[in-house]
Amino acid sequence: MSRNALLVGAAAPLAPALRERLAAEGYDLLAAPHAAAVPALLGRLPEGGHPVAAVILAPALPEGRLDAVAAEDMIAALDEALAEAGMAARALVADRPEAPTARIVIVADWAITGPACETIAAAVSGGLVGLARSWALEFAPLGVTVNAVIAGPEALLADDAVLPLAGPLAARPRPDHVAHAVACFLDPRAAAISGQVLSVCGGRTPGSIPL
Amino acid sequence: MSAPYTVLVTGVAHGIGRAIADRLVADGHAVLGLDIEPAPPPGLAGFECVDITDAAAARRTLERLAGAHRITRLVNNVGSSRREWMHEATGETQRWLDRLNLGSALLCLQAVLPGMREAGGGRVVNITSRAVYGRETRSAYAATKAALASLTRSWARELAPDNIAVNAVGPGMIDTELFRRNNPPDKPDVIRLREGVPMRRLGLPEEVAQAVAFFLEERTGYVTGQMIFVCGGLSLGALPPAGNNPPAPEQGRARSGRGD
Repeated sequence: MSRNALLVGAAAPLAPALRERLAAEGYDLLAAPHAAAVPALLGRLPEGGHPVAAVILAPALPEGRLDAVAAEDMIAALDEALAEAGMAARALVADRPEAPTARIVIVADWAITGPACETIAAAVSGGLVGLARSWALEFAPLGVTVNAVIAGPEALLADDAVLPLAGPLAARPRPDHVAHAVACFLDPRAAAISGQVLSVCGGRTPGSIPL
Repeated sequence: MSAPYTVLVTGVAHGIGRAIADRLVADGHAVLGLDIEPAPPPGLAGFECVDITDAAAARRTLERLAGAHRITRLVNNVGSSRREWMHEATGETQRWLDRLNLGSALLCLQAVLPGMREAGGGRVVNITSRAVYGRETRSAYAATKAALASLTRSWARELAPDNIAVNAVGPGMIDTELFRRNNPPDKPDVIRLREGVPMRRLGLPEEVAQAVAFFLEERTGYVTGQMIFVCGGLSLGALPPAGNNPPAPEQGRARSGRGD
């Protein structure tokens, strides 16, 4: 059986931590720069090389005041992230129901929780989690699990800063924390965990509305 | 009833949008409607026929409306859906719904924002869906509605200093033409959901309009970033037919598992 794991979004800020953790878990890594590249990449794999697991990283997107966001830019970002992720999921699972990729994890941005001035990132990450939950339902009869991890905001910061008003944090979220949550969802023993959304944020969601 | 206001409602020709327009007209408000079909409900203060997936055309229409009316309320209702299994997906449905369900909301909000700020505040209601929590055969639709829920939170935070509240209403299985077209009554996923509605019936468009009217009301000004589901309890999770009933005594004991 293949031990290939596919990392989609190989240039995303969290990709190095994911690569390191997946390698430590014993996976052989395949990397796609973005979801649009996945169907062709899978088509080139040798017999038996179809990935058993896939991790889709949300792209880094620009911030900007609502007034200044061009609708065309938001739509282009949505098309690229959501429509192409759908085609990737089709190639990973739906087109090969006899031997699908058994684990999919989407890593979404903290923008899904609704910080101001992040219209495009909020829409894209919200959409990706909507896909994860829907795929979890649709792919369940195939034994495929689909989950989402929300990366806490500091996990994407280059320095050691903690965002203001963070409240008491159990730990400042780091990329390797996010990678750990992903690895838990990918574990073969996590077969009954699907459609879940896990925030890796140091414990800042208590006191907030659930997603 | 709150003081009369001018409200822009998108997608007013049919279904939920029409019911929202009817309700707000009945409440005495000036309702402006948009739709791709030239079929406005009666009593509107204005109506424009436009394909809102054409961003440039929509922008021109919206600027004209916002210039002619002092719009302080916006209901981003327009939207559609398409039943599609993942093995049938080509990306075309997602791209269509990105424009219709999401691009439209941003275009409309940007058009009315200056007027709301000038008026000292405003209200925005985004029509999402119970499908924000996931729906098989509808992943593209669910993604756009989950994205709109996320935008509701972001816009609520960003516009709160301007006294503009942004909320969402998430309909469940509502008896509309679109619902009937997309939900063949004999399909297993439709049966599972229909039979899992705790209230044991489809919702009415007028019941969605009630939640919208609540968010638009003057007295609801301190509520922002929230989402009300109008779903007969379906967002609690679909249950088997017996799921609404109290457990039989022996079942209750078995469930407790601790002999208490």
